[in-house]
Amino acid sequence: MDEKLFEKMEDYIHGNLSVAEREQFETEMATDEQLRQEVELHRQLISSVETESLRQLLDQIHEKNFEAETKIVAMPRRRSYFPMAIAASVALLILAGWWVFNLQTSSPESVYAAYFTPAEGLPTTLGYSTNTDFAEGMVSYKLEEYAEALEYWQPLLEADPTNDTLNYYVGVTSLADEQSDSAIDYLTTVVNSEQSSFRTSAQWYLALSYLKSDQREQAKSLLKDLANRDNPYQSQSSEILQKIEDR
Amino acid sequence: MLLVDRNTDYYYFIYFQLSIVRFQLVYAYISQFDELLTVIMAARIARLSTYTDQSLYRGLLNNEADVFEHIYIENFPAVRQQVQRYGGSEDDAKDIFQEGMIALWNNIRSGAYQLREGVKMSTYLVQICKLRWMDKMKKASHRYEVKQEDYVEPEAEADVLINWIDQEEQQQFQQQFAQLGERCQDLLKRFYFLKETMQEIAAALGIGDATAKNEKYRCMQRLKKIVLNQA
Repeated sequence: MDEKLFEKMEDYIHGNLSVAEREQFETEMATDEQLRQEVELHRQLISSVETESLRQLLDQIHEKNFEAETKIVAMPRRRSYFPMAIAASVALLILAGWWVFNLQTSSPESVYAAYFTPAEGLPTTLGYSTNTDFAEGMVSYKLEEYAEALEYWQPLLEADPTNDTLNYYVGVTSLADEQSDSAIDYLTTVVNSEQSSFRTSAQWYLALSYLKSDQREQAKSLLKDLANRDNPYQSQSSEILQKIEDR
Repeated sequence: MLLVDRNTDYYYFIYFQLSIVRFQLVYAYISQFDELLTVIMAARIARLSTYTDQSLYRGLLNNEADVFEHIYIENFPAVRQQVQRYGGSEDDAKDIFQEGMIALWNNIRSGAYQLREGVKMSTYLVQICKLRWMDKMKKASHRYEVKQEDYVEPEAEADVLINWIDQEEQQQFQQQFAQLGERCQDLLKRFYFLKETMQEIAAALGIGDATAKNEKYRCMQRLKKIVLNQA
């Protein structure tokens, strides 16, 4: 179903159509069984979304007004050692967990996981952009639908293989989609193009890609460069360097 | 008996002591202000109860959070008391009451519930929750003991029970909805439940109007895909 029909159904369900439009839509539905079913399904989905939102709201209200009350009532009147034993065990667990966590963070893979957040997308204004596929891909990217974004962008990149914006976003998206090897290819192209405004960011994501695929030496040389000059990734880069050097 | 060895694990011991102190402080704090809390709660309820049945009705139609909260605070204790009197737990009461709120809200939207002279909305709500609980106990009589004289045959409100949405029924959709990303969930809740306009949503998410509209379309398409795949 395309977006135009979707908006028409929405307007119909919310009663936003003019009398003439509504009558026309109802005539269409009378002859088109598939359309009628689409509208019915859409109505049900909206109703389920609303019910689910209300259920969540009621849970919040309950928690806010009645959960605290239960806890006060449940407070022990006599001093019992049981809660203290629990508190002590919890404290021990937290300490143990912290220790294990500290040990783990030094592997390149987990350093990658701790530092990777997808890059900010570019603003998209659909309908006004000359390149709709690029904008569509950007919407998918922002919705964290990485495979879908790549489907939009790959053909554009094939047509224009040196485009730094495309290489950068396809690279970051590949990394987010767990394909660090292709990410390395795309991001290297951006890092090597001296004029690109994405160069520093690409270098950061390239370093993370190397960490993800456990190529520590390559990651280190990129991070050292980032740590030694003024840029948004400077402090994070020195942090990571310390962590992987520690081992 | 001590759980820790003082000599070797001195730091754990300090941590353990701190936990005890924290417990005692919280406990002392709560007992001291127990009364004050009661006064605050009473004042809050007094402030909240400036609603009439008409304004509650309108508020429910518009999905106003304040109105839901007011009705919740006013009526949950009565329903809880009834459910517990007939052998239910606090959680049973919560489930039944929330299902009852959803039923009331649905019936107002469909027109099945109309304001009636002399019947307060709160009476209606408590009554349908009670009927529902009786019904549930009858069906699960191996779990709860029902005294014959306690059971009232549902009459005028019986139609409510037919359209009643169970917690369990809603659970499937709850899981499907959770499969959408946070962003989609937020966007759809704002648009369909909170009735925010696309312009308001676009501003809140920091995106353009056209993008917001397109995202809404795509989120609904995804939700449809999830629901149809699991039907």
